[in-house]
Amino acid sequence: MINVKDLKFSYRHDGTYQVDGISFEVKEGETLGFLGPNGAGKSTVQKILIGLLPMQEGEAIVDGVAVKDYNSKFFNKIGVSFEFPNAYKKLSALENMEYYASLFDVPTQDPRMLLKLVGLEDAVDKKVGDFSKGMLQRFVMARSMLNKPEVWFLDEPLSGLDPQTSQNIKNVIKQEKETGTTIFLTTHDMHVAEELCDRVAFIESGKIIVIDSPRNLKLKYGEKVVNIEYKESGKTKTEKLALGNEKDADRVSEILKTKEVETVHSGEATLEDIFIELTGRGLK
Amino acid sequence: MFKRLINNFKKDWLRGYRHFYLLITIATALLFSAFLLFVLPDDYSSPGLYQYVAPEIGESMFEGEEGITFVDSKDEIKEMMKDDANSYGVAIELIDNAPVVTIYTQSNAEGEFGQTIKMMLSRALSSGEEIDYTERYESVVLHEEFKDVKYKETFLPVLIVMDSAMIGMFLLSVMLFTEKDHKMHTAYMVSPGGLTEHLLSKSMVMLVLSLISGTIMTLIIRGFDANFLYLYIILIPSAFFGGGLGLFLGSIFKNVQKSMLGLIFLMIGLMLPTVSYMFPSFSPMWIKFIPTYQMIYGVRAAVIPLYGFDDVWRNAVIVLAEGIVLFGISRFLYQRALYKNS
Repeated sequence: MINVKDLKFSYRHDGTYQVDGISFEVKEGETLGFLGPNGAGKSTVQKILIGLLPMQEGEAIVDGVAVKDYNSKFFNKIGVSFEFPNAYKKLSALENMEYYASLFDVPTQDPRMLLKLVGLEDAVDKKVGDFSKGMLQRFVMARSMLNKPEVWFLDEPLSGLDPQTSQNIKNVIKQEKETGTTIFLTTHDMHVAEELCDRVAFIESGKIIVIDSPRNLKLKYGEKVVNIEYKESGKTKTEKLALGNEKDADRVSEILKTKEVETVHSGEATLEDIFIELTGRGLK
Repeated sequence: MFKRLINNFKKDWLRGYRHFYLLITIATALLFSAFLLFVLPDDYSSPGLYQYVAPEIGESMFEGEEGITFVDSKDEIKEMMKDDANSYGVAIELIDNAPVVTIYTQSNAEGEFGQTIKMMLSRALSSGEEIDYTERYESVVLHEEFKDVKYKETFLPVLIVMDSAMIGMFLLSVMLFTEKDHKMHTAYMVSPGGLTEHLLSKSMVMLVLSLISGTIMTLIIRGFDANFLYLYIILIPSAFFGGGLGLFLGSIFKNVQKSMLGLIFLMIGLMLPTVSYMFPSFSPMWIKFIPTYQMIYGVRAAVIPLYGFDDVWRNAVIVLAEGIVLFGISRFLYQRALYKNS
């Protein structure tokens, strides 16, 4: 559904690239997450794919159409939920939705139903300018679903949402996924990536470091670890030790035999741990 | 495209309405009308004087006189006075070795000014000797109908053009800046909506506001003496041009603050033809290339039908052509700016 080959982009046209030779593929019905810190190049890739930034170098094809050949009809097939919640502030949610729906050449979904889906049923007639950030985020998501897109682009879809709303939105995304929608998602939240994506691409300094399913990444790069809390000289100490490491395994055994152990938790490396391991920096 | 254009128009109209654009337009129209009704006098300006002196006589007798425009023929006097309701003309020829003076007025009332002219000429022509030239004077009334036009009414076209071109320009650029600020253009760019209808709808909003404003002012000042059909024929392209200027500003500047200097320069440039309109003797060729020149004279022909309607059609076509070119340029610049601001 999405094919990208050796994509490069430079904002300054000075030989430095903010997107530096990226290649990837998203299959029909698949959810691919771009995981990386702010400024890594995630949103730039997305902007190129949705035509907001011009194609400079490389190739990109979305739903059989080369990015540089986009025409207005193409936009009947995609939906974009922006991180910056853009809407006409003086219009109500419903007025905004009805206006946006009128731009499409294909049948659109009922705006009220979509607003209800994202929990904005009580704010249908409220001016968008009076919305909170979370409400705006949900509104742009609902708007992006109006044309029932075949390819759905989500830019930081859960940014700034409270846990309850986040969960609701995640459920909406999962529902869409189940209907076969191809989803391209950018996030710096490892939990979002892990829960929603079939595959994630770690992106850093404009390059894809690795791309695979969360499970495979963990199997390949993550180690099983144990967190042990024990008392020593009246003080509580904590150690995080990898089970796959012989030295750490010996240390676990030593602590269990010689120390007053308070708690033992086994766990696996998170995507963030793996990201740090591979890139040397965190996701924030 | 038409359906989308109408939907864009509905949306932009609603936005404009909720940003009080309609209220601002009506208030401005009423304010301008009040200015004409209560501030400007019925007759105020010092009249223009056009003079032709036959070469055999020479021009030296009026050298140094201020406010006199020397022309090359009697016909030229008539041509100049055609566009200047508040003016006189004097032609001095030599017939049978004696000067013959023709005084041109815009109405029967020569009044004090005519008497003053006669006195001045008598003195000048007789080189100090008191000679009665009464019989060698001729008075020609050029435009009897101009006596019904008050000075304040001749100011109306300027204010209508100011409102349609200037306020349209300002409001439309503000509309674009607000969209940029809210990044609404990004949502629009990923929809099947085209840029032309996106921008054209805003011009249409300004067009409607301009027609409302022009109608209010004309009704208050001229009542039904104006020709409203012709007024709309010239106002539509004028408002379209004004909207084009707003698009232009909205395309090359990022926000209102940064556009202020450009806006002021544009306004000054666009107001220059007003000087020529109020003082017709000042009409260099270059000033006629400023679109507001065509607009003012076109609107004048519509609201003061005494001038004939030729200007309306010709000027409407010229301004429309300029508006289309400006819209095309602005559209190109706006599209380029969208990529930069995405």
